[in-house]
Amino acid sequence: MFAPQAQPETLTAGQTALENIGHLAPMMIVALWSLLHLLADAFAGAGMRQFQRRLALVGIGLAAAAAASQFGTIEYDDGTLVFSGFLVVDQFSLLLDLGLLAVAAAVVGFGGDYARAHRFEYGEQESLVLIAVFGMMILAHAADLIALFLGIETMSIAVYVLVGARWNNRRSAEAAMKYFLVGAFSSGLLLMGIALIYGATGATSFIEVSHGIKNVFREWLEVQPLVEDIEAQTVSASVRAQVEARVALGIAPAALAIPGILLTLTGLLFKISAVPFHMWTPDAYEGAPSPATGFMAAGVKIGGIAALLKLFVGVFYLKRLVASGYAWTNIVSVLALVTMIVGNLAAVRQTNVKRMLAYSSVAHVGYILVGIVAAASFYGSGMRTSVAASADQLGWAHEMGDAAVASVLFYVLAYAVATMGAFACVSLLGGRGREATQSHEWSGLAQRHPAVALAMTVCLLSLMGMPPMAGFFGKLFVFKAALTHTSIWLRVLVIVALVNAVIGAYYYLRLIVSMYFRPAPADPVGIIPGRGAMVVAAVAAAASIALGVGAEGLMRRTQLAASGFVYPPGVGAKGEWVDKLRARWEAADEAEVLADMQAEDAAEAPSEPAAAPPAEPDAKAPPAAPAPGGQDDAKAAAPTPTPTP
Amino acid sequence: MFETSAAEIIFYLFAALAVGSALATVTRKNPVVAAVWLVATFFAVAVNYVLLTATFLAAIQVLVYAGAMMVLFVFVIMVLDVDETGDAEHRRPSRIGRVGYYGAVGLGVGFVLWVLGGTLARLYTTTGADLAGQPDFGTANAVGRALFTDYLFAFEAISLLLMAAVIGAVVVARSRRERLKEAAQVGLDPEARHAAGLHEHEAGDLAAPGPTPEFDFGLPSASGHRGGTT
Repeated sequence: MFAPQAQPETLTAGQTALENIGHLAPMMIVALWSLLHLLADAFAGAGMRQFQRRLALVGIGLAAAAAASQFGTIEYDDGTLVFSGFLVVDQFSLLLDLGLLAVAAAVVGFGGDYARAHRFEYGEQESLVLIAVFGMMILAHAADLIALFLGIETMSIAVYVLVGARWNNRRSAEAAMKYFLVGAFSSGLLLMGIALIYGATGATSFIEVSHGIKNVFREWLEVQPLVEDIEAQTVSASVRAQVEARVALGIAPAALAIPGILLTLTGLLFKISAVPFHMWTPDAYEGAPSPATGFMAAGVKIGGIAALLKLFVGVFYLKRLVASGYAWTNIVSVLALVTMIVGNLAAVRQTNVKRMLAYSSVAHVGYILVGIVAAASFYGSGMRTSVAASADQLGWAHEMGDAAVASVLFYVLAYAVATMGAFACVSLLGGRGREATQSHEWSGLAQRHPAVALAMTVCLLSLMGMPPMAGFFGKLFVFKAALTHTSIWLRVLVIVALVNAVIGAYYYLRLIVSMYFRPAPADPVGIIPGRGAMVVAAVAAAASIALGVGAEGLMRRTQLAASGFVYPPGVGAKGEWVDKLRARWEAADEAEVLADMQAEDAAEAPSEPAAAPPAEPDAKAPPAAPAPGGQDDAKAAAPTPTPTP
Repeated sequence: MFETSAAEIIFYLFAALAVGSALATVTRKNPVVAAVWLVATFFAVAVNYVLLTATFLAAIQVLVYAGAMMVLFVFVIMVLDVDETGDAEHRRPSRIGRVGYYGAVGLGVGFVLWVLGGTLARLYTTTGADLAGQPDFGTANAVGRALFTDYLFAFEAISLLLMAAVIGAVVVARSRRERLKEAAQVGLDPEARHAAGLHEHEAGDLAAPGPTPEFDFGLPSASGHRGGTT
């Protein structure tokens, strides 16, 4: 049944393991490098910290190169199951790997300077970042409930330490304590949910769980007539006991599965801080050292969203689970609504920049949840959008579902880039032993440090959703995906999201106005020494613009990552969808080349100079323009995607 | 309808014991007493492992958790010399806090009883995992084979997870020592010492006045900036 798995049987266990390690090269490099870094730390003196950071960056670069060489190649179109179906390597996970490695590079890039300036430098920092990224990559690659839990735990434990590492600040300890307690609690919920799902389906692998869930509900449906009989008292007394036992057997798995699904959902929503579970977010974000905050806001969110997509959109997309009274999508829709409103309204009131960004990250989770609901609705109930469902319509629904997943990926990546940039700027500002996070300390920043103010402005505009930036296209794609579905509820969600985007603009713009048009305080704070944060902020700002101007390029990559999302890896169905996508691109590119040639012919005829500047207008026409280097996705963007040529 | 076997009676007995002693673990104020209750939880869970024919796991549970881990816990508690007369015991929670606390506990206990009652009355059984298929299920051999084939990656990844936890413990524990060292180098004013999380009784060790009061990191931003470098 699984073509790639049939092959290893001829190999010895050792050869299979080696082959699997090759498939998982980015992850293995990260794991190895975390140990290597730790070893280097054991022998390194305090003066070698800079060298250690460079070493960590080299490792991240190697892993990114490995991931970039894998992403987009035809070999992984189908998805390859590795380690007995424990993990999967497909385009989705490889794209997320690239994003996570970029976040890790940024954290390592400015984490050291911050720690030095605030006098809590410690050699294990980069190692912990690498272990956390390893956990996030497990989440991106997970094909098993156990892998999911393992990834969440590995990520969380390393991040708890990063949050609490600033020993000379009580807020840091408080933040770590809060994050740890809430995190441990949510891990418990997640584990309980996994146990119940295992009880209902008898499996932990995603493929088997998704089959098992179907059986669970089939059995449940089968005993429904018997339930009616019992309620109508038409069952004779002699067989009544037997019938009741049969009903109990039929209902029990569903009675386990539904609480299991809800507990798992709660556990994951805690991790990404959706609203009723967001209480820890502002305190933990404020108290944590700024690089760790950025890591939590970008890396942990990417990991959590990947887990949500994999488990809920990819496994629990059954019609009965997304389009009925007890569907999880109903709950997530309401939570998305509340998350957007509460996050934005709370952010408006904040005077502390870190708390403001914390609440804004809560609001962004709300927008992302809209995309997740849209994706699940397409996969689960896509057929209901038309009167008579045919194979074509089913295919259309799946295509739209893929588009929704792609838009969520786009949103998350664009959000991560802008968030990393914003927190790099936050970490820069400070001096004489403390961080300048009060918003009045930011006023007049443009006169003192124009570069920092500019980078912060670009990142904030991207978070706000200003058109040329990546954040705008993220919102556009998510809302477009949600509006394609005929569900009224999704339309309401989009309208609320649009209103919220306007509220969000208020507090982002307020900070920008304060930086540019308010006079500086009498006793202004400086910036901490070190180039790392400045480089990260500049790259993040440039990438925000580049990903916005070249949105087509990133969109193609996310589409590639999301195509055939719900199909199990290794059986070929996923590959067919990717093939279709590639064929469509080729046709589009050919049409593009043809149009270009015609345009060139037309331009060359009247005069010379018209041929000179074709690069810019080309890139600015989003729907029709070719992706920067779009044709060969094999050389897909490195961690920080290069600007358009 | 009630076909309660001896195994089921043992299961419910030890499941109740596990839950009860787990509750005792989190409610005892004395950490050593709590640790002993935790041992009781481990034993009760081990009995349930035996009922599931996971004998090897049960043995490991007793050896590693009830044996080694508990010794470690008690050791850490002794070394840390936990202050039992903290602020928390002197502060009486408000009426609303107490009502909420007991309400939540009542709801939780009620829910557990409801589920247990429902289970006992209806005899819910699930198809679940088919364990009887493998005759050597639960033996050390089978566990070892599963661990190094199907769960090889999980096995190795967990070692990295534990490594992260160990690093975390080292970072947190060492920071205390560094704190004292750095505080001894620079003279600390009481405010900064408080901000750095140093207790009063430690202050005597580091009363030596230092050259410059450069150490004032981490004051909560609300209280503003004090002192500092020139």
